[in-house]
Amino acid sequence: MVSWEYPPRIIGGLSRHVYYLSTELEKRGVEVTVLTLGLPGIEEEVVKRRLRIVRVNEEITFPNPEFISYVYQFNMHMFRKLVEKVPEFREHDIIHAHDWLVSPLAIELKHLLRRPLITTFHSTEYGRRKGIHTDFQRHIHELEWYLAYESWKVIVCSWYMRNEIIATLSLPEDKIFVIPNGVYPIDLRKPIDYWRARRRYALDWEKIVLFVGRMAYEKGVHVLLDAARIVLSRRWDVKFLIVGEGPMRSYLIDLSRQYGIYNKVYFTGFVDDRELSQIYRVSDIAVFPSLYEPFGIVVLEAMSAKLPVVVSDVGGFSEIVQNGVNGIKVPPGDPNALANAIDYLLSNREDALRLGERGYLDVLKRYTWSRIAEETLKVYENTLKEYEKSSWKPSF
Amino acid sequence: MVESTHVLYLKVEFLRVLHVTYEYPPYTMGEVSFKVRKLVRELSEMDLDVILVHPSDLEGVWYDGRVEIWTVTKSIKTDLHIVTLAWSLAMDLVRRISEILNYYKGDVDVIHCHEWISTIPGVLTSLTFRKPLIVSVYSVESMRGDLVNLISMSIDGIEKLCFSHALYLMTDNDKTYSNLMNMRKVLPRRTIISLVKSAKDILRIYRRALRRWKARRY
Repeated sequence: MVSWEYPPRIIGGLSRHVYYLSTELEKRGVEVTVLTLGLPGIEEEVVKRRLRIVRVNEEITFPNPEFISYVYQFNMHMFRKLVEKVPEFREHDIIHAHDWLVSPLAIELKHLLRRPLITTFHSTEYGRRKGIHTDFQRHIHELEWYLAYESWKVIVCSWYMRNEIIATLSLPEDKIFVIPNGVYPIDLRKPIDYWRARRRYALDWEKIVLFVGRMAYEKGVHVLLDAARIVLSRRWDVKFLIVGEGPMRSYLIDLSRQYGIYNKVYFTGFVDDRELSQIYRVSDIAVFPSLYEPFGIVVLEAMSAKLPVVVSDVGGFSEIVQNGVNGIKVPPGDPNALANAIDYLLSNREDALRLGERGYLDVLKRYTWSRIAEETLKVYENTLKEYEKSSWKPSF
Repeated sequence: MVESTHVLYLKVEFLRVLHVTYEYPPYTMGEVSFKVRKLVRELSEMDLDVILVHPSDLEGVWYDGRVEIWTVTKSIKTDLHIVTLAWSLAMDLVRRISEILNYYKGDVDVIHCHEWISTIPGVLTSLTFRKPLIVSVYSVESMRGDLVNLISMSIDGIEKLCFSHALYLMTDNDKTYSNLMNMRKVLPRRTIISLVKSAKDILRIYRRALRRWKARRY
C-alpha cells in the first residue's frame, strides 16, 4: 500500500483512511506493507505482526522548483527505501495506491514487478479546482489519468466520485468500485469532564456550532462565516467553533473581523484526536458547508458522536445524509439556507436529538472499517483471479 | 594434408547490454544522440548484443545495423520544465524497459544509461532486478547551469542521487571528468569514475563491472 500520508503524518483524511484500512486488512490475515512519508524523529520501520510500515523521513535533500517536482522526488526516495527495507518487495501480490501523489512510484512498481495495481481515488484535481486552468493543474490531472489508466481496478468512496472519474479521467465503468469511507465511532461511554471541556471553547449559556476540516476554499468556511453573521443577527447565544488548519486560515480570521463576529468565532487550529473527540461530545450541532466533497469523513465522525448535522448538498454528503432523516441538507454556497438550518436545529432540540440519534445508528450500520476492509478484500480477490487468468505476468 | 577433427572453440563471454538514452537519431537535441549512435553501433560489432531504448513519437522495435532499438512514447504531455519532463518520462521508460526485460526473460547483463534524464529509470531498474548500472556522462549541471535557480539545483540533485547508484561513471572528455571528480565526495566508494576514449574501453568496463558485480567487491 503506498500513500504519502500515514499517522502521525496527517495532512487530510487520507492518512486515517490508510491507517484504518491497513489495520483491518491485517486483522483479516493480509500481509500489508505501507510505504509512506514520515516525519523527522519518527521510526523509519515499524512491524506489527503482519503489518509493516516503512517511512521515508529525512532523505528529501535537494531543492525543487515546485510541488510536483517534490512529489516526484519523494516517490524516488520511497522506491529506494522500499528496496532497502523490504528485500522481498517483489513478492507482493497487489500494489494499492492512494491518490495521484504516489502515481510515479505505483506505475513504476506495477511495471517492474508486473503485479496488478489498484488505486483508491479520494478526489480529483478537476473536482478540487473546479476545472483545469493551468499547466500545473494539467500535469496533476494527467498524472491522475495515467494512474487510473494503469490501474487494474479503481476504488472510489462515493457514487459522486465514480461519475466524476468517468467524466474527467475517461475510465470504463466496470473498472470502478464504490466503497464508502468508514469511521471508528467516537466512544461515547468514555467519561469526560463535560463542563471543563466545554468551557475551553464557549460560555455555559452558548450553544456550540462545530465545523471540522481544512481551511480551504472548497470546504466553504467562508460560507459558514456568512451564515454565522445571519444567525448572530437573530440570536446571540451561539459560538462557532472552527477546527482545523489550512491555507485560508488567516483570511478567514480577517473575514470574521470584517463581519464583526470575531468574538463569536473560535479558530482552534490543529487539534489532536483526543481533543477532537471531546469537542464532538460537547458541541450542539455540526456544520459542513463544503462546495466540493468527494466523501466527507468528518460528517461520519460527527454523526458517530450523535451530533445533528447540517451539510451542503454536494458529493459524498448527498449520499450519506438523508434530508430530515439523519441530518439537514442545504444548497451549497447558500448562507441564508445554512443559517436557517442552524437556527432551526438550535431552536428545536427534540428534532435535533432525533436526527443525531438516527445518524448515529446509520454510521454503526453502514460505515464501519471492518465492512470496508471486507469489501476491499473482495476487490483484491477479484483482481487476483483475473490476474491469474491473464498472460501479463513476469517471465523471470 | 591432415584434416583436423578437433575444432578449437574460444569461449567468449557473451554480453547483452541495455542502453537507455533520452535522445537517438532522428530524435536529436544535441551532440549526445550522435555520440550514442556511434557508440552502440561500434559495440554491436564486437560480439555484444546491444539493445537501446529511447523516447519517440511512435512505439515500436526496429534495427539500426545490429542494434535493436525499442522506442517509447511519452504519456504525460504537459511538462512544466525539464525536471518534470525527466521524472515523468521515467515512468514510460520504466514501462518499456520492463517489457524488454520480460521479453529477454531478464537476460540482460548491464544497464548503460546516457546522461542524467535516462539515469532515473536506469536506477529503478537496476535496484529492482539487481543489474549493474553504468552511466555515460557527457556534461554535468555544474558545467551547464548556474546552480542558483531551482531548476538547475534540482537537476544537480538528481544527478548526484542517480549517479550514486552507478557502478561506473564514464565520460569522454576531460572537463566532465574533472567535474565528476569534484563530485567524488558525494558518491559512494563503489562508484568508479573513468575517462574512456573508445568503444573498446567501454567493453572492458562492462566486463570489469560484471566481474565486480558478481564478486560484490564494493
